Amino acid sequence: MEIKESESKGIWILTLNGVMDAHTSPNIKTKLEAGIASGKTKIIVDMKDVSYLSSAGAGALLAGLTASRKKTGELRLCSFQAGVKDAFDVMGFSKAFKVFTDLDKALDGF
Amino acid sequence: MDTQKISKVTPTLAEELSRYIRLLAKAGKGLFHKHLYKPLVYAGWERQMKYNDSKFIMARIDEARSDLAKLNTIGPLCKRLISQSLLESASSLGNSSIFFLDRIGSIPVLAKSEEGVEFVSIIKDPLNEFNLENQTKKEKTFEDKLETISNQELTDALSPIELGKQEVRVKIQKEALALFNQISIFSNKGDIHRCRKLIANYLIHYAEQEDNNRDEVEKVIQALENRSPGFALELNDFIAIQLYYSIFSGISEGDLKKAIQGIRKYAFTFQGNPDIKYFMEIDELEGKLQAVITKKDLWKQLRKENI
Repeated sequence: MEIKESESKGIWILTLNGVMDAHTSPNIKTKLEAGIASGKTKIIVDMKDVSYLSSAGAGALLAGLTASRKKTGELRLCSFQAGVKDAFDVMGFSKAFKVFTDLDKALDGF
Repeated sequence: MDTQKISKVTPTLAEELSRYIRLLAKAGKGLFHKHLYKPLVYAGWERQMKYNDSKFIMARIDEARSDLAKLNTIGPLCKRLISQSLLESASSLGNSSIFFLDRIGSIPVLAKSEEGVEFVSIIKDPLNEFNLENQTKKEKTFEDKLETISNQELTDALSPIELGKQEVRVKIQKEALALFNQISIFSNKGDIHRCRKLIANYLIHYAEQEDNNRDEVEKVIQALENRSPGFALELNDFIAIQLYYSIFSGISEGDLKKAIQGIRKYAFTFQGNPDIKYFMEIDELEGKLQAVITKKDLWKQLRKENI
Protein backbone atom coordinates (compact mmCIF):
# COMPACT_ATOMS: atom_id res chain seq x y z
CA MET A 1 0.00 0.00 0.00
CA GLU A 2 1.27 3.41 -0.98
CA ILE A 3 0.86 6.35 1.42
CA LYS A 4 1.31 9.91 0.11
CA GLU A 5 1.54 12.80 2.55
CA SER A 6 0.72 16.45 2.04
CA GLU A 7 -0.41 19.40 4.11
CA SER A 8 -3.01 22.08 3.58
CA LYS A 9 -3.93 24.84 6.06
CA GLY A 10 -2.24 22.94 8.90
CA ILE A 11 -4.14 19.76 8.12
CA TRP A 12 -2.21 16.57 7.52
CA ILE A 13 -3.54 14.74 4.46
CA LEU A 14 -2.77 11.12 3.81
CA THR A 15 -3.69 9.72 0.43
CA LEU A 16 -3.80 5.94 0.44
CA ASN A 17 -3.46 3.74 -2.60
CA GLY A 18 -4.09 0.00 -2.73
CA VAL A 19 -5.55 -2.63 -0.47
CA MET A 20 -6.14 -2.08 3.26
CA ASP A 21 -6.14 -5.41 5.05
CA ALA A 22 -4.30 -7.19 7.86
CA HIS A 23 -1.05 -7.11 5.88
CA THR A 24 -1.02 -3.39 5.13
CA SER A 25 -3.02 -1.80 7.96
CA PRO A 26 -0.33 -2.08 10.68
CA ASN A 27 1.86 0.30 8.59
CA ILE A 28 -0.95 2.80 8.28
CA LYS A 29 -1.70 2.54 11.98
CA THR A 30 1.96 3.13 12.86
CA LYS A 31 2.16 6.07 10.44
CA LEU A 32 -0.95 7.67 11.95
CA GLU A 33 0.17 7.14 15.53
CA ALA A 34 3.65 8.56 14.84
CA GLY A 35 2.19 11.63 13.12
CA ILE A 36 -0.29 12.25 15.92
CA ALA A 37 2.46 11.85 18.53
CA SER A 38 4.44 14.55 16.68
CA GLY A 39 1.48 16.93 16.86
CA LYS A 40 -0.33 16.33 13.56
CA THR A 41 -3.73 15.90 15.10
CA LYS A 42 -5.95 17.30 12.34
CA ILE A 43 -5.99 14.61 9.72
CA ILE A 44 -7.78 13.77 6.52
CA VAL A 45 -7.39 10.34 5.02
CA ASP A 46 -8.19 10.36 1.33
CA MET A 47 -9.55 6.95 0.38
CA LYS A 48 -10.08 7.51 -3.34
CA ASP A 49 -7.48 4.95 -4.44
CA VAL A 50 -8.28 2.31 -1.82
CA SER A 51 -9.74 -0.65 -3.68
CA TYR A 52 -10.39 -2.99 -0.72
CA LEU A 53 -10.92 -2.40 2.97
CA SER A 54 -11.21 -5.12 5.60
CA SER A 55 -12.10 -4.70 9.26
CA ALA A 56 -8.40 -4.69 10.05
CA GLY A 57 -7.95 -1.66 7.77
CA ALA A 58 -10.98 0.11 9.20
CA GLY A 59 -9.66 -0.64 12.67
CA ALA A 60 -6.36 1.08 11.86
CA LEU A 61 -8.30 4.21 10.90
CA LEU A 62 -10.36 3.93 14.06
CA ALA A 63 -7.19 3.74 16.14
CA GLY A 64 -6.02 6.94 14.42
CA LEU A 65 -9.35 8.62 15.16
CA THR A 66 -9.19 7.66 18.84
CA ALA A 67 -5.58 8.85 19.18
CA SER A 68 -6.29 12.18 17.46
CA ARG A 69 -9.37 12.83 19.60
CA LYS A 70 -7.35 12.22 22.75
CA LYS A 71 -5.27 15.22 21.63
CA THR A 72 -8.40 17.21 20.78
CA GLY A 73 -7.87 16.59 17.08
CA GLU A 74 -9.97 14.89 14.45
CA LEU A 75 -9.59 12.36 11.67
CA ARG A 76 -11.84 12.71 8.68
CA LEU A 77 -12.27 10.39 5.74
CA CYS A 78 -13.10 11.32 2.18
CA SER A 79 -13.56 10.16 -1.41
CA PHE A 80 -14.45 6.51 -0.83
CA GLN A 81 -15.01 4.29 -3.85
CA ALA A 82 -18.64 3.15 -3.81
CA GLY A 83 -18.03 -0.55 -3.10
CA VAL A 84 -15.49 0.19 -0.39
CA LYS A 85 -17.86 2.65 1.29
CA ASP A 86 -20.63 0.04 1.28
CA ALA A 87 -18.35 -2.46 3.03
CA PHE A 88 -17.27 0.20 5.51
CA ASP A 89 -20.92 0.97 6.30
CA VAL A 90 -21.98 -2.67 6.58
CA MET A 91 -19.14 -3.35 9.02
CA GLY A 92 -20.56 -0.56 11.13
CA PHE A 93 -17.47 1.64 11.23
CA SER A 94 -18.87 4.65 9.42
CA LYS A 95 -20.88 5.77 12.46
CA ALA A 96 -17.65 6.65 14.24
CA PHE A 97 -16.23 8.93 11.51
CA LYS A 98 -17.03 12.09 9.66
CA VAL A 99 -17.05 10.96 6.05
CA PHE A 100 -17.02 13.38 3.09
CA THR A 101 -17.55 12.86 -0.61
CA ASP A 102 -14.37 14.72 -1.61
CA LEU A 103 -11.25 16.35 -0.21
CA ASP A 104 -12.50 19.95 -0.53
CA LYS A 105 -15.59 19.16 1.53
CA ALA A 106 -13.44 17.42 4.16
CA LEU A 107 -11.18 20.49 4.36
CA ASP A 108 -14.15 22.84 4.73
CA GLY A 109 -14.59 24.04 8.29
CA PHE A 110 -11.87 21.82 9.74
CA MET B 1 4.90 -23.95 15.50
CA ASP B 2 5.92 -23.09 19.04
CA THR B 3 8.06 -25.88 20.42
CA GLN B 4 9.57 -23.90 23.29
CA LYS B 5 9.69 -25.57 26.66
CA ILE B 6 7.24 -24.17 29.15
CA SER B 7 7.59 -23.75 32.88
CA LYS B 8 4.05 -22.63 33.58
CA VAL B 9 0.82 -22.94 31.62
CA THR B 10 -0.94 -19.65 30.99
CA PRO B 11 -4.75 -19.57 31.17
CA THR B 12 -4.78 -18.52 27.51
CA LEU B 13 -2.78 -21.54 26.40
CA ALA B 14 -5.01 -23.83 28.46
CA GLU B 15 -8.13 -22.29 26.89
CA GLU B 16 -6.67 -22.48 23.40
CA LEU B 17 -5.80 -26.17 23.71
CA SER B 18 -9.18 -26.90 25.23
CA ARG B 19 -10.86 -25.30 22.18
CA TYR B 20 -8.62 -27.27 19.81
CA ILE B 21 -9.68 -30.49 21.53
CA ARG B 22 -13.32 -29.54 20.98
CA LEU B 23 -12.61 -28.95 17.29
CA LEU B 24 -10.63 -32.19 17.15
CA ALA B 25 -13.59 -34.09 18.58
CA LYS B 26 -15.66 -32.89 15.63
CA ALA B 27 -12.98 -33.89 13.12
CA GLY B 28 -13.33 -37.67 13.52
CA LYS B 29 -11.88 -40.60 15.40
CA GLY B 30 -8.74 -41.00 13.29
CA LEU B 31 -7.55 -37.46 13.87
CA PHE B 32 -8.50 -37.62 17.55
CA HIS B 33 -6.38 -40.74 17.88
CA LYS B 34 -3.45 -39.19 16.05
CA HIS B 35 -3.39 -35.79 17.73
CA LEU B 36 -4.43 -36.57 21.30
CA TYR B 37 -4.56 -40.26 22.18
CA LYS B 38 -1.27 -41.38 20.63
CA PRO B 39 0.92 -38.54 21.95
CA LEU B 40 -0.24 -39.30 25.50
CA VAL B 41 0.25 -43.04 25.11
CA TYR B 42 3.71 -42.57 23.60
CA ALA B 43 4.60 -40.27 26.50
CA GLY B 44 3.81 -43.13 28.88
CA TRP B 45 0.62 -41.72 30.37
CA GLU B 46 -1.40 -44.88 29.77
CA ARG B 47 -1.63 -47.13 32.82
CA GLN B 48 -2.46 -50.80 32.54
CA MET B 49 -4.25 -51.03 35.90
CA LYS B 50 -7.77 -49.71 36.19
CA TYR B 51 -8.42 -47.17 38.91
CA ASN B 52 -11.83 -45.89 39.81
CA ASP B 53 -13.60 -44.44 36.81
CA SER B 54 -12.77 -41.00 35.47
CA LYS B 55 -15.94 -39.34 36.84
CA PHE B 56 -14.99 -40.44 40.33
CA ILE B 57 -11.49 -38.96 39.92
CA MET B 58 -12.98 -35.70 38.65
CA ALA B 59 -15.13 -35.47 41.78
CA ARG B 60 -12.06 -36.07 43.95
CA ILE B 61 -10.18 -33.31 42.14
CA ASP B 62 -12.96 -30.80 42.74
CA GLU B 63 -13.12 -31.87 46.36
CA ALA B 64 -9.36 -31.35 46.75
CA ARG B 65 -9.67 -27.94 45.14
CA SER B 66 -11.60 -26.52 48.06
CA ASP B 67 -9.18 -27.92 50.65
CA LEU B 68 -5.92 -25.98 50.94
CA ALA B 69 -4.13 -28.97 52.43
CA LYS B 70 -4.96 -31.05 49.37
CA LEU B 71 -4.08 -28.52 46.66
CA ASN B 72 -0.83 -30.28 45.83
CA THR B 73 -2.63 -33.56 45.23
CA ILE B 74 -4.56 -32.09 42.30
CA GLY B 75 -1.66 -32.46 39.84
CA PRO B 76 -1.12 -36.20 40.46
CA LEU B 77 -4.90 -36.75 40.49
CA CYS B 78 -5.24 -35.03 37.12
CA LYS B 79 -2.50 -37.23 35.70
CA ARG B 80 -4.33 -40.25 37.07
CA LEU B 81 -7.52 -38.96 35.46
CA ILE B 82 -5.90 -38.82 32.02
CA SER B 83 -4.32 -42.26 32.49
CA GLN B 84 -7.69 -43.68 33.42
CA SER B 85 -9.55 -41.99 30.58
CA LEU B 86 -7.04 -43.38 28.06
CA LEU B 87 -8.33 -46.81 29.05
CA GLU B 88 -11.99 -45.84 28.85
CA SER B 89 -12.98 -44.20 25.54
CA ALA B 90 -12.21 -41.35 23.18
CA SER B 91 -15.00 -39.22 24.61
CA SER B 92 -13.76 -39.86 28.14
CA LEU B 93 -10.26 -38.78 27.09
CA GLY B 94 -11.65 -35.65 25.45
CA ASN B 95 -13.75 -34.72 28.46
CA SER B 96 -10.94 -35.45 30.90
CA SER B 97 -8.42 -33.42 28.90
CA ILE B 98 -10.81 -30.45 28.75
CA PHE B 99 -11.48 -30.85 32.47
CA PHE B 100 -7.74 -30.88 33.22
CA LEU B 101 -7.11 -27.79 31.04
CA ASP B 102 -10.02 -25.94 32.61
CA ARG B 103 -8.62 -26.59 36.08
CA ILE B 104 -5.14 -25.52 34.89
CA GLY B 105 -6.70 -22.23 33.79
CA SER B 106 -8.38 -21.66 37.12
CA ILE B 107 -6.00 -23.15 39.72
CA PRO B 108 -2.63 -21.33 39.68
CA VAL B 109 -0.83 -24.08 41.60
CA LEU B 110 -1.89 -26.62 38.96
CA ALA B 111 -0.69 -24.35 36.15
CA LYS B 112 2.82 -24.56 37.62
CA SER B 113 2.64 -28.22 38.65
CA GLU B 114 4.88 -30.86 37.10
CA GLU B 115 1.86 -32.76 35.81
CA GLY B 116 0.15 -29.69 34.33
CA VAL B 117 3.30 -28.59 32.52
CA GLU B 118 4.05 -32.13 31.30
CA PHE B 119 0.51 -32.67 30.04
CA VAL B 120 0.52 -29.43 28.07
CA SER B 121 4.02 -30.08 26.72
CA ILE B 122 2.85 -33.44 25.37
CA ILE B 123 -0.34 -32.28 23.67
CA LYS B 124 0.62 -28.75 22.58
CA ASP B 125 2.50 -29.52 19.36
CA PRO B 126 0.18 -32.26 18.06
CA LEU B 127 -2.84 -30.03 18.71
CA ASN B 128 -1.21 -27.03 17.05
CA GLU B 129 -0.40 -29.25 14.09
CA PHE B 130 -4.02 -30.40 13.92
CA ASN B 131 -5.26 -26.84 14.13
CA LEU B 132 -3.09 -25.67 11.25
CA GLU B 133 -4.30 -28.52 9.03
CA ASN B 134 -7.89 -28.03 10.14
CA GLN B 135 -7.77 -24.28 9.55
CA THR B 136 -6.63 -24.66 5.95
CA LYS B 137 -9.34 -27.24 5.32
CA LYS B 138 -12.06 -25.19 6.97
CA GLU B 139 -11.10 -22.02 5.10
CA LYS B 140 -11.70 -23.93 1.88
CA THR B 141 -15.01 -25.27 3.24
CA PHE B 142 -16.02 -21.75 4.19
CA GLU B 143 -15.26 -20.50 0.69
CA ASP B 144 -17.20 -23.37 -0.91
CA LYS B 145 -20.21 -22.87 1.36
CA LEU B 146 -20.25 -19.14 0.75
CA GLU B 147 -20.56 -19.88 -2.97
CA THR B 148 -23.83 -21.72 -2.38
CA ILE B 149 -25.37 -19.58 0.37
CA SER B 150 -28.61 -17.87 -0.62
CA ASN B 151 -28.80 -14.08 -0.70
CA GLN B 152 -31.39 -14.15 2.08
CA GLU B 153 -29.21 -16.30 4.36
CA LEU B 154 -26.25 -14.00 3.82
CA THR B 155 -28.35 -10.92 4.52
CA ASP B 156 -29.73 -12.51 7.70
CA ALA B 157 -26.24 -13.42 8.88
CA LEU B 158 -25.03 -9.86 8.47
CA SER B 159 -28.12 -8.17 9.86
CA PRO B 160 -27.47 -6.14 12.96
CA ILE B 161 -29.33 -6.64 16.23
CA GLU B 162 -31.97 -3.97 16.76
CA LEU B 163 -29.70 -1.34 18.26
CA GLY B 164 -32.06 1.42 19.11
CA LYS B 165 -34.83 -0.39 20.94
CA GLN B 166 -35.46 0.72 24.46
CA GLU B 167 -36.01 -2.82 25.78
CA VAL B 168 -32.64 -3.90 24.35
CA ARG B 169 -30.91 -1.00 26.10
CA VAL B 170 -32.67 -1.82 29.37
CA LYS B 171 -31.62 -5.46 29.01
CA ILE B 172 -27.98 -4.51 28.45
CA GLN B 173 -28.01 -2.19 31.46
CA LYS B 174 -29.39 -5.00 33.61
CA GLU B 175 -26.82 -7.46 32.29
CA ALA B 176 -24.02 -4.96 32.86
CA LEU B 177 -25.14 -4.40 36.42
CA ALA B 178 -25.31 -8.15 37.04
CA LEU B 179 -21.86 -8.50 35.48
CA PHE B 180 -20.32 -5.84 37.72
CA ASN B 181 -21.89 -7.46 40.81
CA GLN B 182 -20.61 -10.90 39.87
CA ILE B 183 -17.15 -9.57 39.07
CA SER B 184 -17.06 -7.86 42.43
CA ILE B 185 -17.93 -11.16 44.16
CA PHE B 186 -15.37 -13.24 42.27
CA SER B 187 -12.72 -10.55 42.44
CA ASN B 188 -13.08 -10.46 46.23
CA LYS B 189 -12.64 -14.23 46.23
CA GLY B 190 -9.49 -13.82 44.13
CA ASP B 191 -11.05 -15.82 41.29
CA ILE B 192 -9.51 -13.92 38.39
CA HIS B 193 -10.23 -16.76 35.98
CA ARG B 194 -13.98 -16.43 36.57
CA CYS B 195 -13.77 -12.64 36.20
CA ARG B 196 -12.03 -13.09 32.85
CA LYS B 197 -14.72 -15.48 31.64
CA LEU B 198 -17.53 -13.18 32.73
CA ILE B 199 -16.09 -10.12 31.00
CA ALA B 200 -15.24 -12.10 27.86
CA ASN B 201 -18.78 -13.46 27.58
CA TYR B 202 -20.27 -10.03 28.08
CA LEU B 203 -18.02 -8.31 25.54
CA ILE B 204 -18.55 -11.02 22.93
CA HIS B 205 -22.31 -11.03 23.42
CA TYR B 206 -22.66 -7.26 23.13
CA ALA B 207 -19.75 -6.57 20.76
CA GLU B 208 -21.87 -4.86 18.13
CA GLN B 209 -24.05 -2.86 20.49
CA GLU B 210 -23.27 0.83 20.47
CA ASP B 211 -24.50 1.28 24.02
CA ASN B 212 -22.64 -1.64 25.56
CA ASN B 213 -21.13 0.14 28.59
CA ARG B 214 -17.67 -0.38 27.12
CA ASP B 215 -16.16 2.52 29.09
CA GLU B 216 -17.38 1.12 32.42
CA VAL B 217 -16.19 -2.36 31.48
CA GLU B 218 -12.78 -0.90 30.54
CA LYS B 219 -12.54 0.62 34.02
CA VAL B 220 -13.24 -2.79 35.56
CA ILE B 221 -10.61 -4.35 33.28
CA GLN B 222 -8.09 -1.70 34.33
CA ALA B 223 -8.84 -2.35 38.01
CA LEU B 224 -8.30 -6.09 37.48
CA GLU B 225 -5.12 -5.35 35.49
CA ASN B 226 -3.77 -3.33 38.43
CA ARG B 227 -4.55 -6.19 40.72
CA SER B 228 -3.32 -8.94 38.42
CA PRO B 229 -0.82 -7.62 35.82
CA GLY B 230 -1.32 -9.17 32.40
CA PHE B 231 -5.08 -9.52 32.92
CA ALA B 232 -6.03 -7.29 29.97
CA LEU B 233 -3.76 -9.10 27.55
CA GLU B 234 -4.99 -12.50 28.71
CA LEU B 235 -8.57 -11.27 28.36
CA ASN B 236 -8.00 -10.22 24.74
CA ASP B 237 -6.41 -13.56 23.93
CA PHE B 238 -9.25 -15.32 25.70
CA ILE B 239 -11.89 -13.45 23.65
CA ALA B 240 -9.98 -14.06 20.42
CA ILE B 241 -9.80 -17.79 21.17
CA GLN B 242 -13.55 -17.94 21.88
CA LEU B 243 -14.38 -16.14 18.64
CA TYR B 244 -11.93 -18.18 16.61
CA TYR B 245 -13.48 -21.36 18.00
CA SER B 246 -16.98 -20.07 17.30
CA ILE B 247 -16.07 -19.22 13.69
CA PHE B 248 -14.40 -22.55 12.96
CA SER B 249 -17.00 -24.66 14.74
CA GLY B 250 -19.64 -22.74 12.77
CA ILE B 251 -17.86 -23.75 9.56
CA SER B 252 -17.54 -27.38 10.75
CA GLU B 253 -21.24 -27.53 11.58
CA GLY B 254 -22.26 -25.88 8.31
CA ASP B 255 -23.59 -22.94 10.32
CA LEU B 256 -22.38 -20.03 8.22
CA LYS B 257 -24.40 -17.52 10.19
CA LYS B 258 -22.43 -18.40 13.31
CA ALA B 259 -19.16 -18.10 11.36
CA ILE B 260 -20.03 -14.76 9.79
CA GLN B 261 -21.26 -13.30 13.06
CA GLY B 262 -18.03 -14.42 14.70
CA ILE B 263 -16.02 -12.54 12.07
CA ARG B 264 -18.11 -9.42 12.65
CA LYS B 265 -17.79 -9.67 16.41
CA TYR B 266 -14.01 -10.03 16.09
CA ALA B 267 -13.89 -6.89 13.94
CA PHE B 268 -15.99 -4.86 16.36
CA THR B 269 -14.17 -6.09 19.43
CA PHE B 270 -10.57 -5.65 18.31
CA GLN B 271 -10.86 -2.91 15.70
CA GLY B 272 -7.83 -3.79 13.67
CA ASN B 273 -5.38 -4.43 16.48
CA PRO B 274 -2.64 -6.54 14.83
CA ASP B 275 -1.34 -7.78 18.18
CA ILE B 276 -4.45 -9.83 18.84
CA LYS B 277 -4.40 -13.58 18.27
CA TYR B 278 -5.68 -14.85 14.89
CA PHE B 279 -5.55 -11.36 13.35
CA MET B 280 -4.31 -12.68 10.01
CA GLU B 281 -6.45 -15.82 9.95
CA ILE B 282 -9.70 -13.99 10.54
CA ASP B 283 -8.80 -11.24 8.07
CA GLU B 284 -8.30 -13.98 5.49
CA LEU B 285 -11.82 -15.31 6.11
CA GLU B 286 -13.26 -11.81 5.94
CA GLY B 287 -11.57 -11.37 2.57
CA LYS B 288 -13.39 -14.45 1.26
CA LEU B 289 -16.67 -13.19 2.71
CA GLN B 290 -16.32 -9.76 1.09
CA ALA B 291 -15.39 -11.33 -2.24
CA VAL B 292 -18.61 -13.36 -2.26
CA ILE B 293 -20.74 -10.36 -1.29
CA THR B 294 -19.16 -8.40 -4.15
CA LYS B 295 -19.65 -11.29 -6.58
CA LYS B 296 -23.33 -11.61 -5.61
CA ASP B 297 -23.67 -7.83 -5.79
CA LEU B 298 -25.20 -7.66 -2.32
CA TRP B 299 -23.47 -4.63 -0.79
CA LYS B 300 -26.29 -2.22 -1.54
CA GLN B 301 -28.90 -4.52 -0.01
CA LEU B 302 -26.80 -5.18 3.08
CA ARG B 303 -26.08 -1.49 3.48
CA LYS B 304 -29.82 -0.76 3.51
CA GLU B 305 -30.34 -3.34 6.26
CA ASN B 306 -27.45 -2.10 8.35
CA ILE B 307 -27.98 1.64 8.34
